[in-house]
Amino acid sequence: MLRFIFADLRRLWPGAVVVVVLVALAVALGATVTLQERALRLGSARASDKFDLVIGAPGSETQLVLSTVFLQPAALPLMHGDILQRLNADPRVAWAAPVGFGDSFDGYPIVGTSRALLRDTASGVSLGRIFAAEGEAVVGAAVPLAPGAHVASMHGEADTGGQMHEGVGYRVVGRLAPTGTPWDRAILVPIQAVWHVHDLDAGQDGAAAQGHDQAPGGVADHDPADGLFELDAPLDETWGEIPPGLPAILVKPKSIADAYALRREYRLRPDTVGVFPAEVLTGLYAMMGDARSVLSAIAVGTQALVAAALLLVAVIHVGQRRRQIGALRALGAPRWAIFGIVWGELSVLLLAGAVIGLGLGYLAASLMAQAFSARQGFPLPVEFSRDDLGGLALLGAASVLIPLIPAALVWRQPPLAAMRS
Amino acid sequence: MLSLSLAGVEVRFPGLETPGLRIERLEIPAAAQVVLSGPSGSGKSTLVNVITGLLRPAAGAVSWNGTDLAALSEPVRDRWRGANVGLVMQDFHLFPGLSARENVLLPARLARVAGKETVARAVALLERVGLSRPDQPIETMSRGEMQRVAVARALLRAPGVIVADEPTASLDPVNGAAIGTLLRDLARQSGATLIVVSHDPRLIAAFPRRIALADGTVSADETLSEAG
Repeated sequence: MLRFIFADLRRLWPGAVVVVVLVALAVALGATVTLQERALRLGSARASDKFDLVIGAPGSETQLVLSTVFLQPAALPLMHGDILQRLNADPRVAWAAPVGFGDSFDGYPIVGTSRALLRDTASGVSLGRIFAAEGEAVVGAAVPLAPGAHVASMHGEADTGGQMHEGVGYRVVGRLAPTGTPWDRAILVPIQAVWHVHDLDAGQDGAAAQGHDQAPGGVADHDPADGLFELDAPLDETWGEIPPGLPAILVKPKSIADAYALRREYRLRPDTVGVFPAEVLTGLYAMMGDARSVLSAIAVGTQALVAAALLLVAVIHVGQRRRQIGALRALGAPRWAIFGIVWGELSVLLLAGAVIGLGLGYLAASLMAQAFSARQGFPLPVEFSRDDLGGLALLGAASVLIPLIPAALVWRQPPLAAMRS
Repeated sequence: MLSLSLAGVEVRFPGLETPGLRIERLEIPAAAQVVLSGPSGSGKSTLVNVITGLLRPAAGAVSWNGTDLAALSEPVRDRWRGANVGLVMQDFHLFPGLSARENVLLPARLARVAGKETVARAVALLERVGLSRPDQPIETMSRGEMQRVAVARALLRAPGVIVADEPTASLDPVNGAAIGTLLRDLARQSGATLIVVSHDPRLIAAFPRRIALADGTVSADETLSEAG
């Protein structure tokens, strides 16, 4: 019987290929949506894992997380610099690192931060050392710069009309091991350098910095010819004097209880907000989940359409072969054998399409994830999970149940059809 | 080996006043060679369908060695036909993509009765009908060769009766004559009853007993003392 099925499929190969391609594309669409959504969710969750607590000025919590964890360029409101001092003195805090954004080099964001963050969160330095002077920079694993390279600083981003900081340049002294976060795409410099580049200095009234526009592409509201920035100036990370205004502070609490206590405390203050990035992302996923349901519904609808179209083709095809099928019956083939041929032939095509479709979907999701990672710096894990078992079972069931319909039509067809009409 | 006995057989088609087939009594003894002829619409095909169990008559008995096909269910009739009837059809009904040998074996394989000796028999039969290349793809064969394959297929399970419906109608005269001779020789050698439907005068002339049908009934049934 298998021999007959394969001989038949070989003879009708163009039609068989079209059926397999149709099924494969429909299945690939659904698989890509599911895999890609999961990859985005897992990838961003894993990327945010390393960021325990983020303190910022009141405003959009989502934006605070997107800017600090995912380094998305956007204007963040600033909070008073003494918050950093308070956090550093807090016994519940292992360390607190300021972060400053706004500049970029060659599309890679320049992030000002402290040595504490580099020492304690990064997976280590794979090349060279971490920065020790104002003009030194450490690059993330995904930045194609080697120690010794020169980094010019641009306010904002080149493709949104950024403006060069003239006379400001950093020397790359080290490179971090991969962390699997968007920070792999960052060029990390001392925050003191960022302040000096932007004409801000510790000890200035923090409030004076409130007006500083961090928006990328916004016209820099300071004199680009800079006086404060010095390549070899030593770093002061004791924050003894009140630092300038800060968009965000990354905090490593000593315990989970401390984390909740700190978040509560800084949420209650009128001038700050504390968020767990993972929690904010959960809210985002809820919204993404709705989008996914819509996409999934479209994918399922497409699959139903393809199934209906294939059913139509199968029924017409079986009708066209009435005489041939009748002849087999007349020659002594039992009806269950004919039933098996029709069912088996279509099932083989549908299952082949389903398997190829899953492969295609996986491939498409992987390629999209790769492109995404190259752009955003953190990997998207494209993987099948236990949750897919239900869907896969349904797909398999449909592949073997749908062919029962044309097979049943053949079952009912009398062998007389083979004879001359 | 199989003898046929029809009694009071009547087949009616929806919308027609007169029965499509009405045969009070017809006996064909075992190993007989009979040709059925008559104009189109005379009931030849209906009679073939009835005696092969493809069509169940509205009334009457169709007995082969005492087994009444009219009393059997469809699957049982299918099984009986597979085991006892060798069918040769005008349109061959061979399946492209398979070789001659695979075509001969296909119905037996689908019925799961193709053992080792059946496979060997298929090759021997192909040789017997004059085909020396059992693995030749069927679509590369001439019409005459195709009908030979169909004849070999009909004989595979050593049927008690061979029923051929217009076996020469789509062949040229030379091939037609060869197929007619082949059928009669093979039937004689195997002892099978041979019933051929034909309007080919040369084929009809070769048969000792000729049954003519008209308007669904037997209009003539003559047996020559000596076959041509």
